[in-house]
Amino acid sequence: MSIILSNITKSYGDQMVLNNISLDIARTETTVLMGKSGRGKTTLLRILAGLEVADTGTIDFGLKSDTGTSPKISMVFQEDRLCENLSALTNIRLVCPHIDKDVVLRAIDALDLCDGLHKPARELSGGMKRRVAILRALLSDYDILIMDEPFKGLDEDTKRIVMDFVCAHIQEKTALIVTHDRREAEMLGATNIIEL
Amino acid sequence: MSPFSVVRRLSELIQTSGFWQSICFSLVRIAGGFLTAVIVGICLASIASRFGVLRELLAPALQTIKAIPVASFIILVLIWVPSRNLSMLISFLIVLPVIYANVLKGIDSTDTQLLEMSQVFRIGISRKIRYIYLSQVLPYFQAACSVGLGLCWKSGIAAEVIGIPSGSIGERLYEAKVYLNTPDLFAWTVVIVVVSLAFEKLFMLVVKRIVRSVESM
Repeated sequence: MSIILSNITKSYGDQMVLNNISLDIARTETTVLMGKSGRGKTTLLRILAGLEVADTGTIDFGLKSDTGTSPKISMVFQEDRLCENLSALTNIRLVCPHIDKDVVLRAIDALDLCDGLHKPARELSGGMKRRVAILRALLSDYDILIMDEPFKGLDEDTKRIVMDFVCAHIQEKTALIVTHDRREAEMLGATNIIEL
Repeated sequence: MSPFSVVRRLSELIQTSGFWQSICFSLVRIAGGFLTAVIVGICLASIASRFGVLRELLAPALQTIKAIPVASFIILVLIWVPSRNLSMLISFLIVLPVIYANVLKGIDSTDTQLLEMSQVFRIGISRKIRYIYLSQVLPYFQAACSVGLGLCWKSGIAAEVIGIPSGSIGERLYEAKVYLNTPDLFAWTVVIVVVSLAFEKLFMLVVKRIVRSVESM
């Protein structure tokens, strides 16, 4: 699924966050958005996810999804946004209830999350919570994957494992990823790096 | 009158069938009023959280119910309602605003980040209620129940003392007052405290069990 953003503007009061932004994100492409803080990267992602409405401009999702309905979005937010009283497994199954449990368990194992599998999210470390949030987004059924600084707070070794996992999952998918690290963008195999 | 005489009177009362009948009479009505208020309060708060008009309409009505003295309510309600069911209606009216206000506050305070997450991932309403709202509203609901349970027993028994329905704890208290029977008065007060505490513990336990089983479904 391709995404064509045309002349998107967004202001909060007097402050203009996005000024006439136009982007063309090709189908099955990994696009990385970069730029200094306050340039409106997160706002743009929120508009794409349907959480904010642009003041002006249009978003065209190409031929819509395969089923002809609105595209299914999956997102890794800047925050983990996990249900703190639910286990890692339940948090994942909350957004993908129909996925085979073995698939979830294999993914959990690949990201070294077995220790926290049945623990409430509030008892997990920051890095584990981040990995659960990433896994939740990757395993859900989506047309477009949006990731807002997904590797924030992960140590280098874990980051490498998680990035390999993400790379394997987003091949042949439309992904839009925000990062401040150009090296991350290259490791993710981004075909399109856009500076905001 | 000594604590010993109260204990002795209580032990005498326990052996009579009238004692247990009075407890059952008041418990069924007061607990019934409380449980009805819980159900109605949750339903109203859920609807009001979505429809601002209902919230605006209910606000003055519930504020009025909160402000009116319990005694005025009891006398007013006695005009239309037979004294047998007075305690049920009074405990319902006293508890309803507490449950409604707290559950509504809980819904309003639900983590917007989690709600946005549920929106993005297209989580259905039943799963949203079960996994997001339930845990967020639960502390407010539990606090409301704790306050409401205390209030319903106080107001319910007060209603029975004024309405004097036959076979109620309130009637026993009234008789103790008329005959200046202080040991009876204290004995029945102890009974009310014990029954009220036992009901609160049992109710909270049931709520916890229900929440746990719903979340693990």
